[in-house]
Amino acid sequence: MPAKRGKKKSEGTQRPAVKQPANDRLKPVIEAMVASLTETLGDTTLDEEFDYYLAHLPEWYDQEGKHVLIHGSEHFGFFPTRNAALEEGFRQFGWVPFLVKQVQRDEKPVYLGWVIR
Amino acid sequence: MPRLQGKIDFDGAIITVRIELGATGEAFLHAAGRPIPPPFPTTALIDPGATHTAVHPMIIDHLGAPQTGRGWMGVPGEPASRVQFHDVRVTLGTYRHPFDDQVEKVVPGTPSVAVLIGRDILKQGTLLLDCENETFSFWF
Repeated sequence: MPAKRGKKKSEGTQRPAVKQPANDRLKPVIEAMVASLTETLGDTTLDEEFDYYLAHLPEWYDQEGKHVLIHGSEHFGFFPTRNAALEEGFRQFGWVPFLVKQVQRDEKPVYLGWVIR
Repeated sequence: MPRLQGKIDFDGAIITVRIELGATGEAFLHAAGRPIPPPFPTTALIDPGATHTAVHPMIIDHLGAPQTGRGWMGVPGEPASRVQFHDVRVTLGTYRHPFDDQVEKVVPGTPSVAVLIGRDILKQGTLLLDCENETFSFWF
């Protein structure tokens, strides 16, 4: 004889009591993320240096893997490690933005798990 | 070998971290006789879905780390966009084992954390997520 189907009143799936809707909880975070991403993606610091890097990258394929130091529209050598390039950058330019970039023919973009745009 | 263990809660695998200036930047400030900003203790989410570590802009601003990197960030459905990087040092838990890392400056999408620990740090150790028992371990 088949067992009687169904659940007692006290059994079964019950939704947990939600104190605060998830949307309300996440809304300020999402707004902050969008604001920071907008700021990050719209930041023009190092645009000149990055454009210089992209323009000269094909000339530097023989330096692939090394780290180039760029400030303004000029480069200041290739270094075996990122820290070596940073040291030289701080020594020459001080505590200001400058670009240290590993020479890569095929640079992969970074991905974050939580990105809203 | 240091080992971090914890419980996977609502937001995921959360750990305590300390964010400081990277070793090179700190050495420069020290040599220049300038004050070194104190470390910033906070919480971080271990996020194996992120290729890179991300730090809340508030912390980067607290450290005053100048921008020294730029790269591409991929967003689903959009062409890759330029993104800025900063050099910081990340210390996990109470262990004196810092990771000098280049991090993105964005707000993590989880209310309880200010840092996302991405695979650039995780690949320097072994991560075990025991979802059945809702625990995690990271050896590094």
